[in-house]
Amino acid sequence: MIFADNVWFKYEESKDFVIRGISLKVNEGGVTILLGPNGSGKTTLLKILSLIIEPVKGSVTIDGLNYWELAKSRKAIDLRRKVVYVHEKPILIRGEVWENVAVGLRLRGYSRDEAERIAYETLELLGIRELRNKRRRELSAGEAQMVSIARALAIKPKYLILDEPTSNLDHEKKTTLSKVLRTLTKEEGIGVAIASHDYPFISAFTGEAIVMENGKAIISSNIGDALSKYSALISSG
Amino acid sequence: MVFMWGEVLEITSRSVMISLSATLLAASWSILASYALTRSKTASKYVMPVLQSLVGIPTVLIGLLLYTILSRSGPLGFLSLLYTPNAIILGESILITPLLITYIYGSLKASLDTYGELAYVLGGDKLGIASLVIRESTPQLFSSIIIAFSRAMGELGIALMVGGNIKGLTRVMTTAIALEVSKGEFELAIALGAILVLITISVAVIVNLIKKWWER
Repeated sequence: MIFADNVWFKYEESKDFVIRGISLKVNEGGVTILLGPNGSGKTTLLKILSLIIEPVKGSVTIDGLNYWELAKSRKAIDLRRKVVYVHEKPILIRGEVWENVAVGLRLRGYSRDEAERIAYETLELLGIRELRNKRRRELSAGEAQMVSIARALAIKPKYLILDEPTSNLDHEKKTTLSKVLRTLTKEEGIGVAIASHDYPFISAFTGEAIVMENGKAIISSNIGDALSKYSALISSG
Repeated sequence: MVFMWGEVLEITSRSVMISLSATLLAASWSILASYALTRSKTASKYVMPVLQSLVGIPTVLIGLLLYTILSRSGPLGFLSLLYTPNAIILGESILITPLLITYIYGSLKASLDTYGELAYVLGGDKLGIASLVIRESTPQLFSSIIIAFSRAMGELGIALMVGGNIKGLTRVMTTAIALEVSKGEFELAIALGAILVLITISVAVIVNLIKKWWER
């Protein structure tokens, strides 16, 4: 389980906290959704959960271990490798699609052949195998986003953190992604955290959700309930 | 005229070899130093302004400094480097180091924010993160190296002071041009000058083609 306990965060150059005392869990085999308007702190919170940024106050533990206390030891990298974060705006490296999907595996010491084989399998899983030899400039925004997600899935992380994963996807790709994520959580026990504005996509999952506003969690409930309350909140202005 | 072209060829090839060696030498430590600077907020805050101010340092100053160090009575006089091509290589590599670090630091810093974070979230260790950042910055690194090469090719003060403009040994394009002009022999000077410009432009064109291919 990833457990963020009463985390606070502010950027160095800023006086104001952008995350203010949020506690959140991402369970193995579970789904946690982050809702809220732009600028409410969802991406920052996801980056805290992904160990990219260290909270100013509070703690983040992964399977009971505090990464930031271990940060200089060899154990830290093993802990960090349990979590993979997927950026909202896909970052693709130079090379073909399969090389992009394989890069995480290569960084973890897989041989080129093994990484290539797993990359093809993952592209197949997401229904985008035909893209394998395309280069980044030949991809649409949606295809680039799927490749970026494929790269994370290829690693088979214990926890997957997705920032607005459907912002460029068409209906067909959203359906595929939703199905793959639900299968992975149920069958492989992957824990998933998603920040999204895509209510139809989110409502296909069962799990926990928080609604954020100005860095605070204003609603914390199950996904269905949180969506209803958040919709009511938006309607009431 | 046949003799002149033989001499032009000899001086040109020596200039290219010396400047290329100096550029590769300086690039090897500048890439590492730049990467290290991107990882240290304090170092980059204090070191970068100093390096930036050294970009435009007059070449004769470096020449003078090196002359003092490499001359027989200097601390490194026992190496007998003065008036050898190696002395020019050393001097030019020192000259272009601030330039290289300034450009490479900027490229790596931008790349670190995107590709560094990507490599981090994908589970890369320090070496893996550095490799990916440098790999993805290659086109910018190429450009920086070419600018530095052009600067090395065109410098005069160091080549003159620690090279000595010895015919057949340390005479390079810029020192030969200066000498020929001082003698009133403009033919060889103009030929060398034209080749110098041609080399600079050709290298820039080739590197741009490589960059385009690389960025596909």
